[in-house]
Amino acid sequence: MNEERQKDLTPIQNAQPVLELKGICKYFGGIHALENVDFAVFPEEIVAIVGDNGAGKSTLIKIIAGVHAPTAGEIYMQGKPVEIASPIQARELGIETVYQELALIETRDVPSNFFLGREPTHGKLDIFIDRKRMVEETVNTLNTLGIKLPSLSTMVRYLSGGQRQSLAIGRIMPWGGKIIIMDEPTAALGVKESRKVLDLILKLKEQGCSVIVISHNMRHVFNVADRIVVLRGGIKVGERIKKQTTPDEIVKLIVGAEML
Amino acid sequence: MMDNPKSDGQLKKKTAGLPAFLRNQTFFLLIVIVLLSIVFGSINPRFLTWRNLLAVFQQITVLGIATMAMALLLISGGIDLSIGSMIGLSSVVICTLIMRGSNVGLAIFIGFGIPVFCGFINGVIVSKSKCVPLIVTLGMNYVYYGLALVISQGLFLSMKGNFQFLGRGRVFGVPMPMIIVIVMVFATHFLLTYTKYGRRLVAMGGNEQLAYLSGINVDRLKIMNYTLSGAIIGLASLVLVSRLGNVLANAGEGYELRTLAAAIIGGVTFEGGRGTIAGTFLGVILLGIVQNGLNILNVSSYFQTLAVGIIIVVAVVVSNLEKIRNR
Repeated sequence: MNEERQKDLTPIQNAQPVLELKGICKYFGGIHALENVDFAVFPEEIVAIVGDNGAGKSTLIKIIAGVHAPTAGEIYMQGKPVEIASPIQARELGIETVYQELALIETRDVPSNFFLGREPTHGKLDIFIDRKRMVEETVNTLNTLGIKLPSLSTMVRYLSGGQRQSLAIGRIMPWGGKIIIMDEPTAALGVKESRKVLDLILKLKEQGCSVIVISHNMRHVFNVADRIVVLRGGIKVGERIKKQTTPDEIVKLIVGAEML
Repeated sequence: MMDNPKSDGQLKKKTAGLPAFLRNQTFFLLIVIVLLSIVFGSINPRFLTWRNLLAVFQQITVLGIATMAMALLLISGGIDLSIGSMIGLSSVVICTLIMRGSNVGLAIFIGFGIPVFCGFINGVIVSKSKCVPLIVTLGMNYVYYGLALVISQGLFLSMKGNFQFLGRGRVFGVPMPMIIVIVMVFATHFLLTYTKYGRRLVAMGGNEQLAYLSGINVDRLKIMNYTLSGAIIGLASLVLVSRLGNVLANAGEGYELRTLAAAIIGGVTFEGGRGTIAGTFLGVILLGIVQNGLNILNVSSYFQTLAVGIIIVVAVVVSNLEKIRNR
């Protein structure tokens, strides 16, 4: 399709990609949400996926997160072909996702959210909750990340937007995920709060994770990303190393202005 | 634990007002129950006798057990409006088997198994079809009631005096139904608070989509929960049939709505994700006291229905006040 447009895309690292998608297509009935998309993530790299509404960003990350199954195409992790059939499998493969808006259960307290889906239990019977361990590990992780919350026992609904987003990101950290996906992590956050979340993303990279970020905010993208992938109408129309591009060029790719 | 003065201030502002223990709906309910008892007792001293209070407790045992099932379902974001006819179907089958000369133990076993199976079916339909459980179980209510009518042919069926222990027996002078309801309340509370299963139920009720995305097998959890609720209903049904001794197909009529009312009064929300078993049981007690009190005061049953309706609406509005304030 537009392969010829990928000028100057020098390989970032000689390393093997931790995750590689080849020729991914996703059709919802007659709608072609993704058409023959190639996408790779390298170790300790932050990749931003940008594009207009309906460009296929969410569909792409949902395929990686195991929510959607691709209509066609292959997925490789560390060079080996894998199938990601459910969020549970994605998690087992070391893929963690922070979803937009619905990242936390509002009516539950902080530790319950932190350990959602993998509650620690006492003893050999996998039945009884180890509440003490939940609280301790939550405190540890929050301290390590420098996330400050008023109280652990408050319902999450009483936390501010920034505190919630920090918590949503923080809760995926202790689980040793190699690939972290974030859908609009700074949407609806103030300047200061966004800064904190961006710092958290950089911290994840420092700790050896690869991060895939969807964002509409060019400044945030250029703040953290190493590489930027542009989708338009379900097709990958460009891929740029951050240092070799400008926000202007990316915006042009997003809207397709150069084609005119 | 972790101090951040700014966010702390913000938090306080949102929850300011009454002291914590008064804002707690469970405590509020306890006060209402005590006040109501004093009012009923001062109008008719007979209400506050040990004997009458024991009678109140006896009257609410089946409702209390069944409400535990409804609470589990509501907290997990589900509902089951077919539990009344599940009780009816189970009772009718037990009596039919006994009247046809079947072994009593076998009849009891099958009678208990039927609601378990009904619950399982409800769970499968709700989780696999992704339909609204309210409508699905409303339909199943007719299915099970219809089955009960077909089996009983609309006739009164009798236990022939068998199996009275669960409903009328006593252990150390304490009536069996009371023991069962108390055990069930503690067991359900324990399940919700201290087990992985219970916490996942509450999480699923709070945000099903996220629970799924967090790696919880939502469908399986739902089916398990509907089946467990069926088992609790099975127990309620055994207690009922054992106490009554003879039944019609509509033996469980109204239980679906009364359990729902008790749970909602107790602070369980229709949206799921919230509520306690302590509160739920106080909701059951409140319904029992109102009914018994109005009986003792010779209020006509027409007015009693009216009163119960008003209590439910008030309880729902009161429990929603916090939400409105926090907007």
